[in-house]
Amino acid sequence: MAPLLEVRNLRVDFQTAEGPLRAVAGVSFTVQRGEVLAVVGESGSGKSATALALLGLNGGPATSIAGSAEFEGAELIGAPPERLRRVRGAQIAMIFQDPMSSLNPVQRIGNQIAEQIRAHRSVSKREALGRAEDALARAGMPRSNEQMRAYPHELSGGMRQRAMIAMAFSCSPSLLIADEPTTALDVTVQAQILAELARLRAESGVAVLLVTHDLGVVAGLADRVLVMYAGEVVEQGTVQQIFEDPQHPYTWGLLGSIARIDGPRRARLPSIAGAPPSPLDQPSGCRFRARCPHAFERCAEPVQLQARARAAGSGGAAPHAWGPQASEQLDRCLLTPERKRALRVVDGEIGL
Amino acid sequence: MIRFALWRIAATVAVLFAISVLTFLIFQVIPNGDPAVRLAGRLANTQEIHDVRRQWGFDKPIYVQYLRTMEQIFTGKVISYTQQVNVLEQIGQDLPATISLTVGAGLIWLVVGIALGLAGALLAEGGRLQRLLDRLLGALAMLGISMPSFLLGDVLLFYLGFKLHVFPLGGYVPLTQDPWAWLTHMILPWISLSILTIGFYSRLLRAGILDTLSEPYVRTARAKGLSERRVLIAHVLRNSLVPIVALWGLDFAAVLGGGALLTETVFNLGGVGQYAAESIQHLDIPPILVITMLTAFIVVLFSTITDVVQALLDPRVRLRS
Amino acid sequence: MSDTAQPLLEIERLTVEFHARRDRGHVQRTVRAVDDVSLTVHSGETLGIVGESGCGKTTLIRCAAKLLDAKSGSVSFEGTDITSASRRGLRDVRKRMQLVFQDSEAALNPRKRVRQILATPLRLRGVARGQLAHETQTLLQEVGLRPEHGRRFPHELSGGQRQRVGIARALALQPRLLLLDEPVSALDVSVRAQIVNLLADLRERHRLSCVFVAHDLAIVRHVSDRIAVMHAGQVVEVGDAEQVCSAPEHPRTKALLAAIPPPDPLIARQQLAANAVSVDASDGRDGGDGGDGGDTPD
Repeated sequence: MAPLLEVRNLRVDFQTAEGPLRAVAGVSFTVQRGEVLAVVGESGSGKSATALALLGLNGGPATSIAGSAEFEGAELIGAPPERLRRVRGAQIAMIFQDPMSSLNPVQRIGNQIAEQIRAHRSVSKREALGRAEDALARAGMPRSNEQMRAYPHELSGGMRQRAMIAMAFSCSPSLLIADEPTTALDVTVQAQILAELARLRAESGVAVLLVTHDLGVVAGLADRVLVMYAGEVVEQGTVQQIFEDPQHPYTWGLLGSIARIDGPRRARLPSIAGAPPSPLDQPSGCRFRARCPHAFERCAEPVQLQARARAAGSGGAAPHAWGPQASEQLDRCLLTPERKRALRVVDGEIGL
Repeated sequence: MIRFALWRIAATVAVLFAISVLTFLIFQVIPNGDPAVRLAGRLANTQEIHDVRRQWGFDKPIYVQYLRTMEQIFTGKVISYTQQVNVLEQIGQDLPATISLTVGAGLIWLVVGIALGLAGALLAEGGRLQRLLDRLLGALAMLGISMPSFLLGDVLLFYLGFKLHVFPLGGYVPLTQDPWAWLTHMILPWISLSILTIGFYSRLLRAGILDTLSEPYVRTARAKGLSERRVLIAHVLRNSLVPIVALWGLDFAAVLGGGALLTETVFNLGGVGQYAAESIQHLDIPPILVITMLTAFIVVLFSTITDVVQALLDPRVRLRS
Repeated sequence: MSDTAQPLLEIERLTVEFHARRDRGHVQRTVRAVDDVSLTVHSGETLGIVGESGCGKTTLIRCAAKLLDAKSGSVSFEGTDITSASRRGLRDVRKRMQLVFQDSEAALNPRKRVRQILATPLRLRGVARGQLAHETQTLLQEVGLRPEHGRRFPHELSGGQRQRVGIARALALQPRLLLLDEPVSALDVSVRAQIVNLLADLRERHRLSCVFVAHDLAIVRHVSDRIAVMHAGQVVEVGDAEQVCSAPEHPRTKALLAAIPPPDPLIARQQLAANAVSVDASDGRDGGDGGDGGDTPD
């Protein structure tokens, strides 16, 4: 079956005062029906720009989007505004990071959800409000009847995000783009929202593109993971491959910097030294090499995203029970899989 | 809500009291301000002045005079010194002109300001039209700050009225008497009063819209699949208008309560503002007092209305006492 | 002053109340943000304070820095009661007790360059004009920034770099105690670790004491010697960091621990399924007065 979403060589450029800036430099991936694909990377890795570009939401005439993104067989990039509008909210819905600023502060929650329903379904205002209330209840909003009339500032962060989720699910989309849906929330609320997303996904069969900087968040939810760095995909694989057999040092660094509640207590946490390169001045070859302790001469060569772990005959990860479709593990690091396995273990755990 | 209302009523009374005392005292100490001298006429002798002073009660202590004047104002019996007519009746006669001027001008600068501000924000960025509008609005705003409205009024009158005969040379015709004449008489006053504010309002709204456009909730509105039109009206414009409406309430009150004084005088509209200006020239305390208090009342009233409207438009705003 | 006997910071039976006004109906009610809290911080120690938003942790340290007034109770710093300190007295105390905030963008003046931001506290410390440039460089180096960062404006820096500037500004006065209010919550995971490590270095080098406020036990566990868990304005559990995390006693501590997503796909899936059932246990106290991070008053 054809994938729900197929993205090929997506590029996003911003015109800035200091010159053109390539936020996304040729990203390709697919999302199958009902699958959760996590896009993980630090701020500035281009992960949010990738997600927004699918719906043309990067905004501003200074942005140009190129490449291809086929959704249900139809091209999204460069699609006429009216066609894009019909897709937004109805077939592809979005949840944003900060539910406070992402909801209109002067409109009631119920009206904001009903507005979306009425943009896509020809129903009366009353009917739309009724559906909005159902959506709120389904998103786990307590006293949803009362909260329909609440303004965003009258709700807690967790409840606001539930309202956003209700809105996103109100038109039964087939793809949900969740851009850092739990980053602005407390750990306890984050756990609830993640559980809510997992439940709604199981119930509705929606595919999810989960954008986050926190690999810890994706472990429970994602089927596959795309690791982005400096506008490029540096590694992709199933969640098991990424967590158990990560191939790119950047992925090791991300895994290592998760603060763990098990394991030994440390005054110093494993971290990735330095900061991402300026998008105005990307290095040649592996873009991570300036921060990589394992860099060697060949890292300056241009390097492709390839299936290296399997190509070397290492066996890779075992087939997994939950993924809708086993897919190849690709990475952009030239070290041999054997070297990687030896280098990535720091203090008994994966790290840089 | 009740607390808010009670508090505002108390504040209004306090403001009216303070402003009336202050105005009263100022005209007591002003040189050449003895009303008895003025009332008695230019050729009066000392005895006649003395009689007038006794008769009108100007020999009584100041606070007695103040209380008596207040009593007259609130019973509607206050008489002006110069023409000796009932002040409230006089104001009642002048009010239609003032209201015609201020309401018309207020609506014009609100509507045109919003339209130009919207155009300025939404025209293609950096396009020729946008640059042109930008310069026009910039010039208007600059003029509005630096040019007094009476000068503009005089210039308009001179060229469009005196030289080209397009518009009448001032004066006021009641709407009920001849609507067309009313309109032609009001157009120049409206323009001269509103044009200078339009530049400021449109620039303010433009900046507000550009700020709002980059708000995450506008991105959400687009992500919901709303039409661009609906995004702009229901989310961008609606939210950017909140400060404009608040400002308009206060500016309108200021104009209604005396800001139009110069325009009225220039165009000889015979409104309340012109009456105030004449009364000040003659140091005629009763009309000055009444108009000052009326102005204060209008300002307080409109700022209250503005607060309430703002709370209705933006639920985050709370009515505080 | 002896380091062992007398605590550096001693909070005793502190209570802070706010008067919250509900929008509709104007019902005025009193919220007890901090309710009879007693805590101590010893010299050289780091105390972690964890809890969900709205638990009063931010209010507590703001009150400890006397940015807020307490209803009752006392805060002693270096043995002197600062709840009743004069303005002048407070000025001295504030030099020795510095705050670092969560939102580094809001906490730094957007119109000043980094070196100007750092110059103010340096001058307050009495650094001579001629020495300013040198001292600024030292500070920048201390927090892992390069000299050229001094010329930048806050918006030209990344979140992690801004938080380093926030820490440098606090260090400029050579304080003994740092009060850190969610210093890493707004940062990327990878940057979080960098800042935590920076704080560990600084603590060691300057024998700093810290109060580290956060909602994430996983981070607090690594940076703190002792941990206090707060809920609804009260400290519900306090103890050795390892003890609190490995053998939690209070249900709120257990809930905080259970909320941390395990970095293992299999376990995470099981935990997610379990969480889906127990939803609304703690987030139900909504619908009212909270702004973002409900534990700060408007």
